[in-house]
Formats: sequence, C-alpha cells, structure tokens
Amino acid sequence: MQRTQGLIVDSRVLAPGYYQMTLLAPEIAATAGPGQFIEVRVADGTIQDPLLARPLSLFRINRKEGTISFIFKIVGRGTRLLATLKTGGTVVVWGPLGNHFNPPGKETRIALVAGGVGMPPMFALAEFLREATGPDVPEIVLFYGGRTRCDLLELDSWNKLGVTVHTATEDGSFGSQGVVTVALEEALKGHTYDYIASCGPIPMLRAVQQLAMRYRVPGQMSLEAYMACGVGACLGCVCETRRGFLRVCSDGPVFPIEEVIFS
Amino acid sequence: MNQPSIAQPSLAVRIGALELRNPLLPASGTYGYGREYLPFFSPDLFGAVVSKGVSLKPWPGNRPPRIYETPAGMLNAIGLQNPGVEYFIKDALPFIREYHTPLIVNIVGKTVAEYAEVAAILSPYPEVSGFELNISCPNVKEGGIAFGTDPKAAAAVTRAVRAETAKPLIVKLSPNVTDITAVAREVEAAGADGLSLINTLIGMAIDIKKRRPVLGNLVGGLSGPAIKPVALRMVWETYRQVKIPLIGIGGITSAADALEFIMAGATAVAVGTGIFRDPAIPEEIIAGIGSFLVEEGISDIASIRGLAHQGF
Repeated sequence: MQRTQGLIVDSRVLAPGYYQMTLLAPEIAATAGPGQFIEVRVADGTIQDPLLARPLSLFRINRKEGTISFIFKIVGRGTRLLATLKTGGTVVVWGPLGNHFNPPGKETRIALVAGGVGMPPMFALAEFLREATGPDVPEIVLFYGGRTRCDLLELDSWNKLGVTVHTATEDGSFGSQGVVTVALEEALKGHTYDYIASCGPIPMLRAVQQLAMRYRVPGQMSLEAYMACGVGACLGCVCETRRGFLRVCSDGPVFPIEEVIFS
Repeated sequence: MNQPSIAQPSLAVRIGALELRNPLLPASGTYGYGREYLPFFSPDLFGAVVSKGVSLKPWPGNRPPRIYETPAGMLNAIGLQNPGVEYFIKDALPFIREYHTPLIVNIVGKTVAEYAEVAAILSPYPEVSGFELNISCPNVKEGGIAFGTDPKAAAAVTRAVRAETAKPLIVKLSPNVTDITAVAREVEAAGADGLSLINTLIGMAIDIKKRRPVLGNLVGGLSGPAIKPVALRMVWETYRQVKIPLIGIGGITSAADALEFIMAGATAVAVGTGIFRDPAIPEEIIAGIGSFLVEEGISDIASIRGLAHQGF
C-alpha cells in the first residue's frame, strides 16, 4: 500500500456520464490484484470540498507499463470534479486497498455477474485469469446488466478477452429485457459452474447470493460503501455479515458469496 | 538535547505531566491505534497517540450506513464500536510498546462506574501514559454525551476516574451545549489535567429519493473543515475560563488551521477527519508549524499560545 502522485496518462468518456481514467502509478500496479481499489483525492490542498478521497475499483492493472485504470460514473461533487481532470495532470492516490478475488484453478467454469458500475472489478478478474492461465481456460461467462444500453460498457474489450457475454437492460434497449439475474438462473439450471463472482447494486447482489446458495455454487462478491479512511481505521463502512459488522474497505471489499446479510 | 533556536524551534509541549515532542495528536476514533496507517507513517510522528474509545465490554456499534459526506465535512455515527478493554490489552498494548510516543487511552462508558473501572484496569500498564474521557459522543444512547452536556455529571465522571489513576487525565468536551465553559470549569475543578475540544456537532442528512435519514442511527456527528470556526470559538472562550491545557480539535487540515487553534489558546491540537482526506496531512501539519515558527523568528511554540487574546 502506497501513497503517490499518479500521472493521468489517459482520460476518456466511455458513454454519457461514464469516464475511464488511467494513472501511471507503478508502485500500486506492482502489487494490485483484481477486486482491490484505490482512494483518489480529487481536490487539491486549497479546496475543502469535496473533502474526502473517492474509493474506486480497479478496472485494469498493467504491471508492465505501471498503470492502473478505473471507470466512474458522475454521481456527485467528487466524480464531477474528477471528470474535469485532463491527461498530463496528477492526482494524489493511495492503494492498493482491501482484499482481492481468489478464484479456483484453471479447469473450471466461472460465472461473473456485473451490474452497472460494478463491472470494472469483474473485468480485472477476467483479465487476471486470462493472463494467468491462457486464452481458453477457464471458461468465463459474464452476465452484465444495466438500466439502458448506455450502462453497458467496454463490450468489445470483453469479447477480446474471450468471454461469453449475456446482457440485460431494464428498458430492453440492449440484450434481454429485465434484470440480469434471470439469465443467470437460466444458465445455472443448464450448466455447472465452479465459481461465481459478482459486483453491482444491492438488489442484484441479493439475488445472486440466493441463486448461488440454491444451486450450491461457491463464490465471492464485492461490495460498495461510503468510506472515510479506506484503510480500516474509522469503522465507517461496515456491512452486516454472518460474522458481525465487517469493514468493507479492509475485511472486504470481497466477501464469500454467502456471508453478507442484506437487510 | 539541542537548545531550541530560531533555526530549529522547539515544538515540545506539556499536558500535565505528559511531555509531547510536538503538539499534534490524532483525534480519537480516526486512527485506531495506529496499525492501519503504518504504510503511511509511524505512530511516532505524533506528539502522542490517542486511541479509539475503549469500553469495559465489547460494543458492536451502530447499524450502517455510518458515514456520509457533507459540504466541507462529514457525518459519522459509528457508535463507538470497539472490542473492549481486555482485547485492547492483548492487542493494542503490545503493538504500541514498539514505539516511543506516549499513548493516551480514550475511555467510553455507559455509567460512571464503567469509566472508572476501565481506568483502574489500564492505569497500572506502563504503556498507558494518560487517559482521555469521552463524555461527548453523540452517537450512543447511554453514557457518552449524557455526561458531557451536564456540568455536574461531567464532574462526577472526572472525579471517579481521578480517584482511580494518578496519570494525566484529559476530558473531551461536547460542543452540543449552550455554554461549553460551564462544563470546562466543573471538569477542571474535579481534577482534570487537560481538556480536548471539541467533539462532533450533532447533525443529519436525508436521502430525498428514499425519503428517510441517510444514517442508520438517523443522526450523527459532524466533523471536518465545516466545524472549524465553531471549534475555534469554543477553544477561545474556554481558554479565558480555565487554567489547564487545551487540545484544540475540529476541522484541522493544515498547519495554518493548527496555528489558529494555538493562538486561540490550545497547547496541542488533534487532526481527525483530515487524516481521512489524505494520510499525508499529519506530516504536512507538523512540518508547516515548524516552518511558520522559523519564518516568524520564533524559537518556542509556547510563545505563540493564546497570542490572539492580547489586547482583548
């Protein structure tokens, strides 16, 4: 875990309201794993608002080039300011933070389930698996849901990774109409998966948890939470689990799929 | 030790018998007891470490969401989650023993007897250099702020803990009162060696889409730069009413902020929410205080304490 000045080497619009930023931060790239996140301080020292750094999941980790990428959607003051930063500028960044996914070995079938901005850590995981074991194994299927087609990002990159993608949109503008967990359940009925990984909104995670338990598939899910410190000190980001309140930032963000209690 | 000079000013301060190498502390609850921030800096950076609140038995804390960012500040309602004094002895004391900086243990309790018992249990440990009583947490139903908003109750807790320990005793005051100096005077008379002020201001936020309060606890404590002017005013007022040293807390994120508190009368200052903003901030504050003294030709930080009161 290191704090550094990250040089912005790329900043681009992916879709209306969605941005991808790439930072040169070799110290962080060297040790980061899929599912881990960084804290990015968006305002400089003289600006007191937004006050806190923003926790952002890693989308791509390029150790060779020493870069890390993340995707964000404009939701408030911090992300709005972040979107104005240009290539060539710097941001204060620290990480990698939290734990990472631990998928099983290569002779396996893996289902990834992503909703909206929960996609980036799923991509980091898929890319990590491909680099570790090659282009064809393990077999990876992505179930990817959003409100509309504009919420489904980087589909070309997914295809290039050799991942089969099932898409669903709530308004039916792309893929099947409805929630993505319908497609997941259909798949679980017909196939055996060895591992499910998921990240996205709470209603989706709750459905994924129920399906994973019903079809007895082990797995992990990554949670999102408001955070203050991001390193485990403030106890501000806890979630309820079968082991009591646990910190999303440092006990997670990746938890066993059955562990989180959704109230 | 070198004599302080204009080129190398002294940052050392005293809170009762407690000698601090520099006047910066972490605000209780923002720093654990230092382990999580080791990748960024050592506990020895601080003049003393102030632990997260320790209670007699483990406390589970409040339901999430526990935090929410507000303009230039944040709300928290952690609810003093902590594993209790027994675990603290097993886990925190061996950790902090490796460092030189004094440890001030922050105590929380539901009754006067609980505060006193935690102090009695911890006082014999050489790793514990002093205590800070949290009588001002707005996020727990019993104890906490109930003691901090009533001068007589605040004095009773202070006396009970005083009877259990000869170590330096600091009391952390709540700003959620009409007159903070009334509590300050009673606590001083009851035997406190110093005062920390302020704890957080009670506030709230509402999620208009969900049509309900954001925080699981409904209300929480506001911290960060948004509360700095209020905290500074309270340190200013209290300095004029008590003789014991003050630790200024509330929205400090820079050396300039810290110097304002010192000129208002604080002997030491604490950084809390500022550590969350950027873990480099504590180092920047200490370095910045030193540079200010050099630039102004001042050899000892003590000589600027309360300076803003001159002529008033």
